[in-house]
Amino acid sequence: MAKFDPKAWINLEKAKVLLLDDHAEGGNILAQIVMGFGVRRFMRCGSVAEAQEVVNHTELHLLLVNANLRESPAFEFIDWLRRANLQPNSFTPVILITGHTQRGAVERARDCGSNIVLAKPVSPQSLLERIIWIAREKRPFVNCGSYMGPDRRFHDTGPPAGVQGRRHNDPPEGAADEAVSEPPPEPAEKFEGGEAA
Amino acid sequence: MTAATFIAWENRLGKMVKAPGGVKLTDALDQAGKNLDSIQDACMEAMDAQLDELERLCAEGGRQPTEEIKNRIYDVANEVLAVAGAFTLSELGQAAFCLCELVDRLRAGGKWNQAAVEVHLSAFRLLRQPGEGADRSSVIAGLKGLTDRVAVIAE
Repeated sequence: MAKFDPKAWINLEKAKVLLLDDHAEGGNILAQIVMGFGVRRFMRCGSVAEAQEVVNHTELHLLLVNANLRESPAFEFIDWLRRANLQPNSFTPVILITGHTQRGAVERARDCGSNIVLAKPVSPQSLLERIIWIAREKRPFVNCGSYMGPDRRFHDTGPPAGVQGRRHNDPPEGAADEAVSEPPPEPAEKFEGGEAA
Repeated sequence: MTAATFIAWENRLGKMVKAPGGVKLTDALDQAGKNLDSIQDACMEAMDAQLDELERLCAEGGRQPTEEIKNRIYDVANEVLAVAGAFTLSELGQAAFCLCELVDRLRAGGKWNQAAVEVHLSAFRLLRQPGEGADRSSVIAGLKGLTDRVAVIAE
């Protein structure tokens, strides 16, 4: 677990955050944590339709989405968001919060277009770490027809084994193992945040 | 196969968090913890009602529950997982995760095992009480072992 620099600050006072969660207590937990971080403009939605309405009319800075919605799949909402061509919301960071994930849904969770997945139970520490990580996020978005969202390759190790690459700089099929580049350094534990007003 | 297109985007959140003002990270964590404390009693009360609901669903479903009851047990267990672990009942959260896994695999296999579900619910009652110790860890290990054995038979 990362240790935070006691001198580092974070400013979320003007951030507009959407929470999509149809579980009352789970949503309350996330809401209280996020408000503790200083978020003042917080929009809580209990259904995908409600969330879509907010997304269509409000410029957001962060979305927290419970993967285990009862009525409709959260994955489809995130996929819709990425493909809706809404500026700037289609590129807004999404944290997908998962409890137990059903068999067959693991790949969908990976491929729906969220920036990062956070497993329940959520603690203030774990959520703050993810928000800071996302604030440093520099991966470009990728649109390849079947997928639209943040680049799923955290490290440039070429296409998966046995798969022909779709990027101009991908090596020919079968040559991926020879083309592995050095991964970027791990993120620093210290968050170089803002300064006190 | 469609070629991949890369799209640059502006990380507006990243710019915002660095703006002057805001709170120290340590203060943010402290405040979030205090906020959680303020809703703990209400969350525990709701979770206890969900534990009751799980027992009712299990009894109502019997040996051949409907798909609706199986799905409801799965959903409620998932919600117990979210709440328990957030309030220092991590073993209860792990047990709830274990029940989700059991129900998911039993659903896939098409064979229900009421006794295995009931064992989980008994463990929930035990783990609902605050405490520590090796006994609680062995309960979780036992549930995981049970789930694996029962699910393999069902599959």
